[in-house]
Amino acid sequence: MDLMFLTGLLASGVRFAIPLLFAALGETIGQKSGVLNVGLEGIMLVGAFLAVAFSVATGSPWGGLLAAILGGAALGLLHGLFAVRLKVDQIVSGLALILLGLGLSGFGYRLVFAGQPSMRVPGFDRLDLGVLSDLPLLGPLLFSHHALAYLGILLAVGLWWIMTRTGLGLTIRAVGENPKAADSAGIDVDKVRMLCTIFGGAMAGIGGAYLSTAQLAGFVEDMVAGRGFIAIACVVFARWNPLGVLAVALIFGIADAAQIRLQPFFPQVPYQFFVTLPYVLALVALAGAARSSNLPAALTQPYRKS
Amino acid sequence: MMQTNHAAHTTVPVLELAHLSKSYGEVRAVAGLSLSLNPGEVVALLGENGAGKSTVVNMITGMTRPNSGQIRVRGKEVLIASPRDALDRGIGVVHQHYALVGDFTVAETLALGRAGPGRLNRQALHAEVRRVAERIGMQIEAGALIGSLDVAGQQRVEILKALSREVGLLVLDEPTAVLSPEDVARLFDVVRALRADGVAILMVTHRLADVFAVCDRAAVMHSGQLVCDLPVMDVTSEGLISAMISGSTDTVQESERMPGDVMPARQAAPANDAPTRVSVRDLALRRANGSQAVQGLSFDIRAGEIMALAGVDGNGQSELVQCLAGVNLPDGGTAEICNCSSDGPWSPRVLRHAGVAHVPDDRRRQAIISDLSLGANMILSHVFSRRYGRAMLDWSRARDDTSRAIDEYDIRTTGPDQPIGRLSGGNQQKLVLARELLAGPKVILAAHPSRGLDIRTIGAVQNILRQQRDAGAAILLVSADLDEIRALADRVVVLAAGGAFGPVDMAQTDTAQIGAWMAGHT
Repeated sequence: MDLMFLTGLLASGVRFAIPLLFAALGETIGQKSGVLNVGLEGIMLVGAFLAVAFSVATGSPWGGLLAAILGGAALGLLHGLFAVRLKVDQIVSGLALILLGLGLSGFGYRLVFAGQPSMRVPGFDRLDLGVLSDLPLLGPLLFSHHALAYLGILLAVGLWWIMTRTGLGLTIRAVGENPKAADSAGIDVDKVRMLCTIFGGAMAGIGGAYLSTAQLAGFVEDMVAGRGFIAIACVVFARWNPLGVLAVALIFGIADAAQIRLQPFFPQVPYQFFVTLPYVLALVALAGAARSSNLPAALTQPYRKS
Repeated sequence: MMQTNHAAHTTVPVLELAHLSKSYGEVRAVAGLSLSLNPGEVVALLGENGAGKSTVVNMITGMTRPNSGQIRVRGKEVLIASPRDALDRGIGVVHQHYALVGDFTVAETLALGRAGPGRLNRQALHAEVRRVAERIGMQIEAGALIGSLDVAGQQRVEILKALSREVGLLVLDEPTAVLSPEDVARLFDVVRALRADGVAILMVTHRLADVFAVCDRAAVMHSGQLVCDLPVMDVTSEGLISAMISGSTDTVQESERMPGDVMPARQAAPANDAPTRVSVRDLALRRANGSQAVQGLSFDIRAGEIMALAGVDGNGQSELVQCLAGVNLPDGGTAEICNCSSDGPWSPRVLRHAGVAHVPDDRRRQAIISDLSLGANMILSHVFSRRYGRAMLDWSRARDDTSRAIDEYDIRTTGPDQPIGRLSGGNQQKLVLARELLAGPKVILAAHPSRGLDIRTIGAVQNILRQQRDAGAAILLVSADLDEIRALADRVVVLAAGGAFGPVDMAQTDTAQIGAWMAGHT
């Protein structure tokens, strides 16, 4: 295994990690407030579709990104309305979101792009940082990614700081750990949870947009392919720590890149074997980390004033 | 003791309740209650379960609103709409069940809901914790994690939280129920410091000892009404008990005397040749989190004997009971019950078959299923004994048993088909006892059997245990209540800080010694 292979692997691992990173960071905040959203998959799909549709319509990937953020936030709001306001079971509401996202994105795609077999999607370009990008090894690894990648890393650090060092973070943690304590301190539990859920939806929307306008250039039905679930595994594996999410998302991204690159080396092994690799990793991670004491104590429990 | 009653005419009361009433549907929880508290006055609010104490607390702290009547704070009539509203008016409350976040530090707990969304100023927060703690002579580490504190420590944080705002009235709801005697003394020091500071305190309590230790006035509620409001120097414990159970301050009638408050003569000491039913040797137990709960514990319980397992909660009592009930295996040493050994098959099913009855301390989680009927709850412990048939349940027999228990144990219910969750805690507990004692057990594991019950039910529960003892059962009584231990136990073993004291004969020790052991002193 030569150095070129390794840098290539790591660099593409980073690219695979970014959609996971956004979705998992948003889910971390949502879960910290006590709301589980298993519907990330559906939100990412809608984000991916909207990003393509609006990139084409506006001619700019940023227009597509904005649409994906708004669409993701809207689905987050929907989840919040059911799970937080109406106290519907969070799993049920999340499952509904997956099916809704699958249907909406597939249907929307056929509606908008029917009979246009190939069209050019204005996607995100990699940043050209001049000399830095041309550095051997480090260039492709660190300085040749899309702007969104750097934004994601900054967000991970920023969210970690907010959650551990600020009053806002304290409020969100209290709502997810002991909503009664938060309520008696005068905090509107449902409002905090709503906002966190909307934020989580918007972040998943960005993750979807990255998939369709930065990683690939175009929308394919069911293109998220389980990444929404992997993102949830990331949150658990990272023990609800945004910095941990960054590290875990990279691990999963590299595993994904590895499975693609390993396939040609072992032609005698069915490729499906490699495709399952990240999911096996997710299973192992969940089995190991599921009993973490960092689990927000009130996760999935609707708050009712007594 | 500081007396402030004579000053009541000149000072404005911190809180005045005038003709407060509150009904829930058909039930009148509080009827025309009037009560006032002056600055620097400690008032005990007493009453049986269901007398309306909690409703009064809820109205004062903004959890519920009265149907009629007025609440005046410092002479001004107010409407307390929410807990936040109560806080803003200077009314702080420490609930029986604390509202704390386990992974917060003490300082963060104080910041919650008061700090802005931006960066937390930890230094200022720590300084504030120290300032408030010093004011009332309280020891607390600002950086300590809430989850690492014991019950008394968490209670101190709750008090601190209330005092970090300008508080004129502090409501303490059953503050001594879960504390060791030493921590109770420390709490009372804090109460006295607050009183000297001019804070009015309303202490809701079950324990008469609290009233005489620290309170200035005793207010007693009976079925929603205030039946007694007197300076503590003018009341006796007999008078208070009488007011609590009958609503009158006359002497208690002989037939209504509570079995718990007079120590009954022991009918017969267990014969020395009575068979040993429970034998524990060098037992070691771990908590769910892996820490050592019990180490090197050895004792025997013979037939016809009550062994008290004393200690403040969390010193391994629940682990021991879980082990003896067959839920967990020992992590070291052996336990033997009625020819079953922890080295052999050891499960709740095996032990129940051998004659073990288990009254868990957490009634709602471990003993009953709230949504199911009394009859169905009756069956729960007897599924494997096939008392109610094999494949098909013999519902008529279950209903008969339940109806008999309802009569025998005086359970207040509409009948065997009522969901047990609708009953009061005392009545639920009586059904649990009835169920566990149905098959004539040889060994009874009774964990806090009378906790949270009203005085009348406590007496009934204790009598039931005495009858079982006389019938030859070996009883392990887990309790933190020295009065109960003194009233029931033949011998006592005390668990404290991983170690065990005793067992000793009750005749050869006194409650002061047991209290000292509970606090970890030898």
